[in-house]
Amino acid sequence: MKKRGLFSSKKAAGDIESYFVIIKWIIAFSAIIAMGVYVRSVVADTFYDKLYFSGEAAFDANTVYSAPGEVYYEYKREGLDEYNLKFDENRADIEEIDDESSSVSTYHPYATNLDMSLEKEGIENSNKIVFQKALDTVEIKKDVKNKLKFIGCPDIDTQNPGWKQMSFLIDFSLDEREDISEALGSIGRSLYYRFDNRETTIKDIDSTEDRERKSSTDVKGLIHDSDVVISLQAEDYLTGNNIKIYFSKEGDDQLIEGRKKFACFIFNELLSDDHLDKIFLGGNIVPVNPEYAKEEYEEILDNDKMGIVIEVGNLDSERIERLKEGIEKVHKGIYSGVEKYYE
Amino acid sequence: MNRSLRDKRGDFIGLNVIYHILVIFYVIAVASFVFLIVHVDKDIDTFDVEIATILSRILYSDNELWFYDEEIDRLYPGILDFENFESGSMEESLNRVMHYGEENKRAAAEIILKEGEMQYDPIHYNKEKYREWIPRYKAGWSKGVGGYQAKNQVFKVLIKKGEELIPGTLEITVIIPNR
Repeated sequence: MKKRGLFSSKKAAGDIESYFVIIKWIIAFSAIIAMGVYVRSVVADTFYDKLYFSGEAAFDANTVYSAPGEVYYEYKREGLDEYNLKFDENRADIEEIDDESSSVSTYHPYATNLDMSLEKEGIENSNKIVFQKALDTVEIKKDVKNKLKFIGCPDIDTQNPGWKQMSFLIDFSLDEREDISEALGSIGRSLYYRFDNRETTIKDIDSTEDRERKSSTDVKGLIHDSDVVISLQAEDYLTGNNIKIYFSKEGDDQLIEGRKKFACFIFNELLSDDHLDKIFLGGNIVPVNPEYAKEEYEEILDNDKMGIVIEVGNLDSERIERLKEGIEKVHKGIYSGVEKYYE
Repeated sequence: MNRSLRDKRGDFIGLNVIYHILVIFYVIAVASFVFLIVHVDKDIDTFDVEIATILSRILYSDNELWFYDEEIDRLYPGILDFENFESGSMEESLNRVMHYGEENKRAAAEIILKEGEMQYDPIHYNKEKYREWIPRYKAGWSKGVGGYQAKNQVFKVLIKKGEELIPGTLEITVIIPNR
């Protein structure tokens, strides 16, 4: 009996096999294409990048907050510039720059400290985030111009005699580290500025040869006459920091805040100079009880005037050499800090 | 057509060769895909780092738990200021210096101070949530979203009572919800 049907002949059986092979090919190609599309989507997916960047940023912020002292940290990662990173509402929030409408933002939480002010900005087109903590401020920015020298000064009104009606003394009572002392200026040198509305008097007293200069009537008289006394000291014991500014914490709150503001102005001016920036890597301002301060500081700190002691130290020979070259900038920094405070 | 390219049945030999080559490619592609799926780790577990940062905040920052000498502007992590610890303001201070927003759903902790055999009343960071989360964690809610992870660590400290320094331990339990 003759077989009937569509694929009953030998030729038809061969056709069936061909159809099956073609179907297998189609399935195989479809599967390969589907897998390729998946792999490509994994490669193109930015979710993990975003998770990684926001996570690291949040952990860094937490770590900076946890430090017991000052911190300056630069977080650098290739590819970070393809994203916008914001630090809002206790979240390090990240999204793609190119396609903000469709991109899903990813975030990690971090905790702030309500006792400290937080200065932050959106990180855009940058592979770097700078985290900085000093005194009572934390900064999270693309870049911080003045690293570790941005101390937030008290925002208070001070009753000052006015810049053009005051006098101040920079006293270089430097004796512990002669190399630093020499770099900062002559040992035993005192610079006295008196401003009258019409003229400025500058006295430059050099008592280098007088090792007992504490009894020098000239210097004592100047300390007595000056509205402001700034004493520069070279110290051996400083570690980590290069500058410490002491002010008295005795007196009424207004006076203490005024001293703090004054010390802060001087500090910021000293460390904002580009040359000094490479010498002074860190520092702080410290309230002290004059009774417990060093004996030689007592006279400067223990009065109703504005008196601060600036200690400089922890410098290697290279930085001492730089300091020597830039000593005029130290003088200018102090002068400009005083000027800003009394303006 | 050249007869040597055909088999005994007269079918074209090249077709089978191409077919088998394609099968090999297909098998390689599938194997690579399976390898990729198996080895791409989609879970990023940041629990350990999160715990470490919270412990760092408690252990090293100026949060009134540790003695701070303002004369020289120095914090002494590890030397516990007992006066502050007992003052009752510690919890408020911890919440202030580790501030996750108005409602903290990120972390909570319990801090237990022991001096020899004596144990003081525990203090808490984010007390309300700690009391809400810890029973759930102990009941086994630890997997996936809605679960919690916790870690307990003991640190040796010196307790500053006046001028006296007494050895003690600080047991900190930190709990964080899964996200």
